[in-house]
Amino acid sequence: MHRQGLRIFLVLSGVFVAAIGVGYYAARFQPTGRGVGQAPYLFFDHLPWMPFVAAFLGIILSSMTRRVACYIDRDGERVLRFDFVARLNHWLIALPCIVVIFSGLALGVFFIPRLTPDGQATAFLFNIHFVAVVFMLVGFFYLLGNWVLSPRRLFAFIPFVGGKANPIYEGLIFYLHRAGLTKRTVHPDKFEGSEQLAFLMAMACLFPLVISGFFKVAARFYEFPAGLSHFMNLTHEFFTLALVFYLIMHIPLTTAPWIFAGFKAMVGMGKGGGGYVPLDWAKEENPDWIKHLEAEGKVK
Amino acid sequence: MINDGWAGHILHLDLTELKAKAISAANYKRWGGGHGLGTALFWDYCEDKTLTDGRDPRNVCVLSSSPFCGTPVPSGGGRTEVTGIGTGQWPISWYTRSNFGGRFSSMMKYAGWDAIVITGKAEHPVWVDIRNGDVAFVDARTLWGKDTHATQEAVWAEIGMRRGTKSAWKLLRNTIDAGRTTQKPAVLCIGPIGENSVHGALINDAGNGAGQGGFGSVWGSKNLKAVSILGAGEVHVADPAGLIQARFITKEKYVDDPDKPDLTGWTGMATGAITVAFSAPPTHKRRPQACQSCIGGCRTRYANGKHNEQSCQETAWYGAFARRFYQDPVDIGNANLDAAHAAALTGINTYGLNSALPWLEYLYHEGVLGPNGKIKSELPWEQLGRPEFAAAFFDCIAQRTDIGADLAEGYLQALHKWGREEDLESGEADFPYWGMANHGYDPRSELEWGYGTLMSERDFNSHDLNNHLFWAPFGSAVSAKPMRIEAERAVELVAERLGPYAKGRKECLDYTESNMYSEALAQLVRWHLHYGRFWKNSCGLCDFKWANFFNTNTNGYWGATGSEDAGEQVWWRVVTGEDMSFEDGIERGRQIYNLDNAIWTLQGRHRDLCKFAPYIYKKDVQGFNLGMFPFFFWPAPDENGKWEYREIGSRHLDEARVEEWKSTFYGLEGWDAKTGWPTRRTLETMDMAFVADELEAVGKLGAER
Amino acid sequence: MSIDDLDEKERAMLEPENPGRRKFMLFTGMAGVAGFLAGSFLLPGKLEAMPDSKGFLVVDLNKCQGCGSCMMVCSLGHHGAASQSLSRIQIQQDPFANYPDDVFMAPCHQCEDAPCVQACPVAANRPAMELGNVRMIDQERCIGCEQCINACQFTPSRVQWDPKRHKAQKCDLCTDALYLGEYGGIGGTQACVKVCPVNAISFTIEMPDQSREDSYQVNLRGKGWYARGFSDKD
Repeated sequence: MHRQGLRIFLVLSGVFVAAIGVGYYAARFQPTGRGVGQAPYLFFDHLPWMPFVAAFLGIILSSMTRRVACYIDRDGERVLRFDFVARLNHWLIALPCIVVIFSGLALGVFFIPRLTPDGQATAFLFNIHFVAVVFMLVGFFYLLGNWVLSPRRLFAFIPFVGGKANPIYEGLIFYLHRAGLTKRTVHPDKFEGSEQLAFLMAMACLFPLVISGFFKVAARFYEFPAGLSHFMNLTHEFFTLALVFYLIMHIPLTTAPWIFAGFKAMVGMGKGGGGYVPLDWAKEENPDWIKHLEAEGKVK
Repeated sequence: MINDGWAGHILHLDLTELKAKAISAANYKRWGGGHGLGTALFWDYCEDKTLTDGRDPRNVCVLSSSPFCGTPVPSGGGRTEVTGIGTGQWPISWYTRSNFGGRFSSMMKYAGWDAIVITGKAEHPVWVDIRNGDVAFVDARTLWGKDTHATQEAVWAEIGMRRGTKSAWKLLRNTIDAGRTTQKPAVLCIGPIGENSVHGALINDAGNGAGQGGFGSVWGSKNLKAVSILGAGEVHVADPAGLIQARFITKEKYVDDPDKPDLTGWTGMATGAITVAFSAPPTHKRRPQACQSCIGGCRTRYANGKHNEQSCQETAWYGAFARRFYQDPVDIGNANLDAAHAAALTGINTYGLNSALPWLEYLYHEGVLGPNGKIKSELPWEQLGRPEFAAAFFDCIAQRTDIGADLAEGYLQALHKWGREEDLESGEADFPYWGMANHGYDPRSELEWGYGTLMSERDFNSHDLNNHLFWAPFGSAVSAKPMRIEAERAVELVAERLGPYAKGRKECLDYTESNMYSEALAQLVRWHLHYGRFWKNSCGLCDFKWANFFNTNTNGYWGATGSEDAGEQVWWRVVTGEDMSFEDGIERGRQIYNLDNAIWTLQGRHRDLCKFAPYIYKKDVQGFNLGMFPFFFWPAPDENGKWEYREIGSRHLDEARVEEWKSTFYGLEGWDAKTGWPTRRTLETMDMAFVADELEAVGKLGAER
Repeated sequence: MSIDDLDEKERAMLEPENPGRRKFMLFTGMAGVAGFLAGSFLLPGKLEAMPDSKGFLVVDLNKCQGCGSCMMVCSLGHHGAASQSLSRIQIQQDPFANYPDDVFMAPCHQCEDAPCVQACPVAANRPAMELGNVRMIDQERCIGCEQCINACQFTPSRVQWDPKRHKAQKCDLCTDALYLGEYGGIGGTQACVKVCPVNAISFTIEMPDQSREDSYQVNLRGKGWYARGFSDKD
């Protein structure tokens, strides 16, 4: 794995785990200092500004990192698919997202009952949720900031832009051809059709989740109309389940044997280290992408 | 909603395999709940309906709630019906019933169960832990032999519930938040008597008991020590606002103000009814205590705790004996309660003692029974009347020592073993029907009681007419209070509710000699049986409050029964959503009664078995037969048709005329008068062809007329 | 990770710096952080002082007959279904205990400084000013964090958990008892008071002494009660 990447991963993980530890400690019941009764220290209650600050921290982070364009490394017979920023961004969203989802489900969503046996465990889960949300928001707004700075990277995901083929057709033929069920072929760009659609689905889930999440946090200090609060709660629950459905597809389809080279690149263990995929593999998987890179002179 | 009033599921406990299974209640809804539900389940689950001893492992015991249980239907939300083949009856232990109040049935509904079917026999003693949908069989070998209170406390401790009140919310199980409660589990259990004899009762909390039928002994034979149930769910009803409003109306209109009681009132729905029978409660330091949803509790909890929830029958059976040693009313009350407490702990059906103890004492005084008698007994018979004697007597039955070894198999069984048939001729053994003790409302006096018992399978024990036409005037007479309703008006008010068979027919309530064997009496008994089978024992309406024929709190003295604002059918409608009339319920009761008779028929019933003990046909009764009161009041017309409350004089029944009456009754029921068996035509009109098929297969279908 | 960590080829492939946009992002981010950090000190705090409830339930522990009718109509009136666990008044019994310790009645106290109100992070549990200041939980706002349940100082907690709906609930003096069939709340009916067969629960507008839990336990028995054979003394 890329050594720098590993170091950053370990540092961030350490901070994450430490924050969870603080959350555990805070979840114990202690006198409130406001008369009778005891209460846990819920991060969402006492630090409602932090998720908003996290979003802006993500934007700041985007201003501090530089992108390396994708290019073909002829000597190394490899192509840079995911630069450091792409990898950092992906995992800064994905890993906290897993924790956000699991903690959210455990707190009860629609037909899934609350899994915690008592108030203290509930408070701890809320604190876990908070820590993961903060990390995830840094990552999500880092992503948005990076798109502002480099719109081209966003357009690579979006269907039809840049003369891309119909994503449904492309994705279908791509897989049918692999399965030997059709002789037709397609020539995907950097992201093939089904990946473009998956991106749209991920965004369709994440945006409402983030927006409704901000509303739910803001409800701690602002009194929204009850109907709006209710709508936001329902939105948050519904898109949680939608995101779970997305991940159930995304994780296997991005770690399957035929795409494993891409996964290795995303974790910084690509060909020769870092976010590289083998050139031969890329020529077969994303031929149009390689053609565009050659046409743009992105060859070293 | 489909499940309005119903939990929707029935729990089958297979004690042989120690397995629990849930089945849908959907196919059983036509039977209403309670007795109807229990009988239909028995019909389906009992593989051999010819059994005549409830201790056979193939017996099926069902605990049934009803759509009313767990809801605030007044005095209808808390009863559990128990059905199965009983023990200790004579000559056959019939398929029978009992019920008890308290907290069990409502807890059952909150746990999500309409009924619990118990089959098989466990290899060793077990108790069953039910918490919502989770069921566990727990080894009860350390509980076996414990009394009923110690058993319940031990079960609570195993579940993690502590004694006392004011405790925190608890999870039902320490896992997913499946529900929380502040309540203790409702535990139904048996005591040593149930473990070792036919006289066992089922006891819940301090004093809710199902005694008659010997179901405690059925459980003992199955190695089942207790069933504990804890529920955190809910019972949906069709019309919640309607139910609440009807409940409010009932309190305002039919029940007298608990803080301004009408102490001369004839209401049947008052607070604080009989607590200690025939003696004074020993202290004012007590509270009334009620079953779930009751409109006026009939029990008491005391400052000494020991006597909690003992009332009525449990405090009646020993009174006459206690008076020999205690004169002060407080002392008599305490002696009664001590004896009741001992009975509850040991888990004995005290009804049998009403007749057993006088008979045994008679044998003692005759020199037949005693240390030197032919029937050996070292019990201190001279101390009969002290609580210590009661405890010793129970112990000898539980341990099968002394005469307990024979009594443990049944009172009539012991009588026959000892060759004391003459006592049934003389009436010294006052067991008038089915080997069961005289309830006190002697069949020779209170006709509907005796006939109802003869035409069913056990001491009828339904006080509907008895409360109104015996106790109301009798109570006023002996306490020098005014007769609040004149006899004729009282009879009119009752007769108005006797539809469809006897509506408006006052003659159905005439118990004078000229009317004792009439078709009118047969219609009355039919009505009473059918009303009881559905509205009382299937819906779970408490015998103390229902029926309510008349009520001095209302204009015109109309009672709640059949009324438009608080009648039985009103509760059925607001809970289940089904718009059934009061008389539709009577018809349902007829169906359930026919199903009962089909089971009895399979067990071997024939009209020739349906007879009172010989003395009923030979000896005159004197009054109210517990030796306490020399007269029996009932409204009756004179030769000019004028109704008054009269003493039903000393008389006996004519056997031949009783047989004629039975034929009339069978005919009205649509049964074969030669056998007493149901006919196909009758069964098919009730959509019970499946019953006719099973009877026909064994050659026991009644012949058509 | 810095540019120095890149190899020669990657350094050659760095995308244009876009300094204008970067500055914009940086300043936007810093403004946002500063704004929210500052705002954290200025955001309105929780409701510290609350108006007194205009109604309270008081109970007579010596009178209750333990029938549970109050629990049934409470849950029925609010949910359309009878349930002990969803009742907002709890009656606990020990059938073997000595009277009067065999029954405990647990109504909500509508506390003067209700800790359950203080604890609510989203102001779902609060005095409803237009409804007599009754402390009640807005079911649409409640997020089910259970802080109010644990904040209640009494045993059992006077706030209940509804596992099906994932919400907390509490006594609202029947303000939101939609299935009552008549007007509830302060000025209206309290179902438990009206249904109790022995009149062991009463509604009062006078706030009991907040320093003692037993100030909510009163004697509601009189001569008529004594005439029935029960003690009218405590």
